[in-house]
Amino acid sequence: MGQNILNKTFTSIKNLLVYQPVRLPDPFVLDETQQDGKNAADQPPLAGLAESLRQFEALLRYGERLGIFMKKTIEVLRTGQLRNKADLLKIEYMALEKQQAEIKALMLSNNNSEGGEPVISTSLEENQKIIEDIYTLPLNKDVVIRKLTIPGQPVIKALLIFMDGLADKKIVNMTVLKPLMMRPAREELYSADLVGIIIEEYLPSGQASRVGSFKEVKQAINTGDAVLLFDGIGEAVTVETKGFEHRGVDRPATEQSVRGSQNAFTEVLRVNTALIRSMLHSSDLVTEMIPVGERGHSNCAVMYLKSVANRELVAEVRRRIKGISTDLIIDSGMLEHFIIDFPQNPFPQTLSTERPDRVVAHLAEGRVAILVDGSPFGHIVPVSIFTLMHSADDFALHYYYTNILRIIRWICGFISMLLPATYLAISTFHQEAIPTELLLSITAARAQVPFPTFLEILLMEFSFEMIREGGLRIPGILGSTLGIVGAIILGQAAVTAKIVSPIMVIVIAVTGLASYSIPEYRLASAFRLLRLAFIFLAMAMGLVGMGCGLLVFTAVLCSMKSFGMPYMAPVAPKTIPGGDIILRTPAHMQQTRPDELNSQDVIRQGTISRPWTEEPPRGGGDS
Amino acid sequence: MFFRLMLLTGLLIISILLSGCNGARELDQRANVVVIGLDKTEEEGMIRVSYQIAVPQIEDGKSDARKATLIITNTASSFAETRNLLNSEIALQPSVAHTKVIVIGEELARMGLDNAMSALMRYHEFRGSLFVVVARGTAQNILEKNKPALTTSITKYYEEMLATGEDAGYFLGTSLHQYYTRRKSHSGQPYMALVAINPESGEGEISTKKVPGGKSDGFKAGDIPRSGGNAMEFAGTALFSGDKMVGTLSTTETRMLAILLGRYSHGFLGVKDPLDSKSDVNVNLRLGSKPQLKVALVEGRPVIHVHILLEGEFSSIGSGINYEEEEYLDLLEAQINKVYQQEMMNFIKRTQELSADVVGFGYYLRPAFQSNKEYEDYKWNEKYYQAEVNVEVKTKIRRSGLMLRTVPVE
Amino acid sequence: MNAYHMGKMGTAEGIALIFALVIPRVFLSGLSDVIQENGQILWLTMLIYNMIPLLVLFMMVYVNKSVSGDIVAVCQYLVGKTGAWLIVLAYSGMFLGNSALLLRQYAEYTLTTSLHQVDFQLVVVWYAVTVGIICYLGVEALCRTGYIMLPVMVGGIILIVVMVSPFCVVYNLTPWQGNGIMTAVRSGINSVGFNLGVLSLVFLSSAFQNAKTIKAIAIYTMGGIVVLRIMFALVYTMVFGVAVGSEKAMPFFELARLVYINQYIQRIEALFILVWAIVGLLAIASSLYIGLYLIAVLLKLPTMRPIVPLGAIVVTHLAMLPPDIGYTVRVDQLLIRVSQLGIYIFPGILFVLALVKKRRGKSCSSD
Repeated sequence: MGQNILNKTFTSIKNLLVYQPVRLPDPFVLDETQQDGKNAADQPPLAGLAESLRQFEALLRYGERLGIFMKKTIEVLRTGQLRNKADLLKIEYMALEKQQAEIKALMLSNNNSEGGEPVISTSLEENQKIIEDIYTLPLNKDVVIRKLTIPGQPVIKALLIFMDGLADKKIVNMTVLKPLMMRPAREELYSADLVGIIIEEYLPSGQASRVGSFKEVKQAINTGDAVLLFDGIGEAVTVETKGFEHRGVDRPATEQSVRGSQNAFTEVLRVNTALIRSMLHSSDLVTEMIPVGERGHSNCAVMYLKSVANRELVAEVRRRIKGISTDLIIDSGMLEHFIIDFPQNPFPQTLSTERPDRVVAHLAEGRVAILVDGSPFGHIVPVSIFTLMHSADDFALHYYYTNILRIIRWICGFISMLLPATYLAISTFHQEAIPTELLLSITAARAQVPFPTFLEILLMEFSFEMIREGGLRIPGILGSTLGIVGAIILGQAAVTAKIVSPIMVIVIAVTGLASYSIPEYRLASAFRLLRLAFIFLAMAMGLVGMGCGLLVFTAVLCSMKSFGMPYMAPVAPKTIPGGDIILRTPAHMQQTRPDELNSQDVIRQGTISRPWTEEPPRGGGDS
Repeated sequence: MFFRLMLLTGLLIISILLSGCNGARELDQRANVVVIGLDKTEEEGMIRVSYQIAVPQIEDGKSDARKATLIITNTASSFAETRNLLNSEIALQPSVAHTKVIVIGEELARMGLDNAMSALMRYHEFRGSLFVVVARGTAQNILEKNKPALTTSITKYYEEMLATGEDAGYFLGTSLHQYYTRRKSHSGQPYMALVAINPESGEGEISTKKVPGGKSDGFKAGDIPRSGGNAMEFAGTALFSGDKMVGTLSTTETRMLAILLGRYSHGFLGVKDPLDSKSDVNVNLRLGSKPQLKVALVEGRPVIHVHILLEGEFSSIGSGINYEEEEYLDLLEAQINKVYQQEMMNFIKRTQELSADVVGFGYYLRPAFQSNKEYEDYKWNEKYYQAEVNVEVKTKIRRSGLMLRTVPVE
Repeated sequence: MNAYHMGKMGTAEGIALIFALVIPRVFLSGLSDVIQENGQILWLTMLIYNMIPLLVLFMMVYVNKSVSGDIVAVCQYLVGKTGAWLIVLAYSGMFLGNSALLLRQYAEYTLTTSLHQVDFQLVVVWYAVTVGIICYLGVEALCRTGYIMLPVMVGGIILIVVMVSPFCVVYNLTPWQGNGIMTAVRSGINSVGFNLGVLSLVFLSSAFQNAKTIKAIAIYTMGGIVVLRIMFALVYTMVFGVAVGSEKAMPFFELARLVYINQYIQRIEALFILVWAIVGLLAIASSLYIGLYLIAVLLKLPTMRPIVPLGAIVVTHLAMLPPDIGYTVRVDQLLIRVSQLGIYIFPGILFVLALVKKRRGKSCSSD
């Protein structure tokens, strides 16, 4: 109709009055990845297109190289230096032929594998292209590619690739670049085994090896090694140049001991294995490296004493770790959950420790240690529940003291599991068991509390867990404040406000303290979980319910296995103990290794392990 | 499969949670009865039961002994019926699991206890370790007038009292288990400690006169001449024949019973000085070895031999005569032996008259028989009164306290 | 066969299994019946009825050695297919009936002793679920749990015995012949049904290492049981006497109630409920396991686990059938009498046939 006055007025009034929201661009929504939808339908033709493109580019590059070579040959022929340069030209010609044959093979192999691993081609440009494809260069600034030429007749073009930050620059410069670039020229490098000569004569590095596929090249670059690629050779050389920043060897954070070594594992696998080796100087100690994780490729070290550990146990550990297919293993705890027999059971079936001296003691008994790169905790298999209650300095202290402490620990384990439930059962079902005086004073204290006992227990448990969780995350300066606030004021205030009765505070405090006495954190957590179950049982059926619960708990524990060894091993199937179940015999009387490990060599030390007691003292010879 | 398992577990848990408390009661929902008193009523077929309930004292700093217990008395046709009535009278659910003592009135005891005791043996809250005592007068009176002076807690009073009865041997604490096993065995009769309220007038009533040479009179509960302290006292024993009470023993007779049972811990015995009739010698005696009792059948008549060995130490020699010397010691020991033998013979004769074998001589006769049938056919309790008894007491005084000898004064 | 048990069990586990199967009735009213029948000479009864099953076990071990295979194969070889079915079904029925009656009695006594106002069916279901879980986990878990709980059980009994020693009157043991020696012998021979569990060693013979282990287990267990039972029975007689002792419904519990050490340690029978419940549950679980195992072996089922929940449900319903406690006790005594069949008749037949077949076999081979 046109913009007459009425329309204009109407539009202007509307613009004035109607609320116009601010025009923002559409927010980001995390939709599904585009290729997922189109993947199934369009995959074959697109793949075909990308493949043809790549091949086309490869052919183009080959054509360029061929053109350069032909120009050079014409140059040589024209200037009449054929006799001198004939050998060099022949070598180049051979290289080109090989490259052509390779391109054919390359195309074939690229067609056959669905985006599989490319092989190392003899053409350096090809290789560089492939590396740039893999690592998203030049966008990805972590990977450094350095072109170099090795002096020789003819000059060898080479490529050095390493990861900035993971590789130690000094080592790269000193052990790779300097010897290669500074050596005097030498003839006929191409004719012989170039890679072999480079490795044996040119690289003063402790670990240099040859690799034949891009998979290994990738693995090497990703872990911090440097890779050398040569023009005309279908193999690469990896040089050990790892040198990234890591935490130094420190005191153990969670397993302090009074007497015993104070080393702890760090996050670097090599440092950990070195710590173990430094305590166990044995040529029988074998370290197998198994990579785990598809994308992560972390290394996992399996250590055992070859002459002692059961061969089938080692084979089983190896089989289980190799048989995992997962994305990424960050921590040894994750690995543990993949390889144990009963992942649904909260009880730990491996021993996790950050002290090398414990690992060494268990290795000597015939167990197997598993360490994962990036995690300062090592795992020991197989383990029984009695081993989990041993603490780190049991080896070093006198056995009377150790035994008393062990008994206290076991009693604390039971207290942390059963005390609230027992209190609940006796005070609500079996009141006659309490002495009359105590009963009257408890009743007097409880008379003003409005909640039933069961609810009081749950309330106090919850607040205790709150304090515990909060204490984990409080910054260090405020830690002691929390202690005072949480424990004293809350507890006292709760009693004065008659929300809980004083005896409940005592019960929960004793239970909490008892659960801290258990040396293994996961075992303590398992007991905590069971405490709740027992409280429910006691609420429903009193001591009878608790008896049923105890029986089922024992039955489930007895049916568990840790890597084929029964979980309650020296007690439940009765085997010859190794001198160290609940109580510990003195060190000079531990003659056999634990029977349930079925190690190859059962005798640990002779029957008379202190021959000096049999012989008379000789007296000073040179006094 | 997983779903079925979860469903099953869920149903089980729901059934547990929905089933209720299963009889669980909080501590402050129960009223704990600590003493029960049983009395006979004037009407036929009714029983009067008094319940003493412990009231928890809130810790405010002052604990009022008067408010520590609550006594309720019900009269109904049976023991259990009074319990029902008690439920209507107090707010909390009554629980007799903490009952310490059952006080039985004398008249009810004389009438026969089987009816009342059957509930005690069958109901699960009563147990054999309860103490039972007989009260002179009514049990209700005992419960109401008992005001422990040294302890605030009623239960402590009873437990301590009954545990220390063997110290002087003047009363013996009996448990329900002992009463019941004695009642059902064919080898003895039950006995119970005697309690009463003392009028505290300072005058008493002697039940057993002292034997020649002895210095102690026997009293029954309630008759001891004293004043001050808690009005309630424990002294003497009630004798039963079957389930009926037939008589009582005084304190000195109870001491003999204690010696014969082997429950005599130690006590002071005073005898007249054999050489000086105006003063007395006091000795602290205890059993040297278990009493040797032999019972044999001679021509169908039971013959009882009792041999007791007592050991002692001097606690006071009034006359200053040097009894620590050999020849004087023998004299004194002979005196003690005479006194005790006389008291023991009197005691046994008394029980024979009442046909109440509280010592349990029948037990010692059992090995003479071959089978239960023979023994039960013999009917010991009826033959007890014909038994011929020989008592021999030997005393050896081994120590003389802090003084080695007494030096005579001019 | 190895789908049933993965490996071999040793002496300790066997002792725990037989102990769990044989001991539970000492905690129930069995002792009152024995003391009423025999009086003070009940130790002779106990000696007899504990030693006879030991001899029978040795006979059965011989049978098992001379004919190879498990119990069904043995019976089939000796008495033919129908006989084998009959014998194994009878044994299975005895064990399952034992399990149901024990479940019922333990549930009843739970009501009387500790949880007075609980719903009866809830207790039965609760026990049945626990028993089902334990049986489901397999015989090794069952036996190992039993072995771990063994010191608790034996310790509980010994502790009670020690704590009531102030109440003992030695003269209660006289007149020593009680109700007569012949009565004792006769009732001993009639009561061997208490110890039917010993034969389970032969049924489970493939789970144990060899015949020597089985014999060792039987000797240790029955010897220990004899000592324990006689000690308990004598202490019970000394404390209560014959007359009062035959009145008590639950001897063990009554002894526990009598404990009075001082003002503070009294009325502690609630803590012994734990011992008592554990013994009962293990007994029910073992009987159920053996009963179901016999059925599984008879029907040649590939594995036993799926019928365990079914067995638990069946046993629960059986347990809830009797209308009152008197009836239950009478049926219990009937079961003990019927178990004599399993102790005397069946092993006798098998033993005689095994001897005969062996002789005949020998004479054949020497020709």
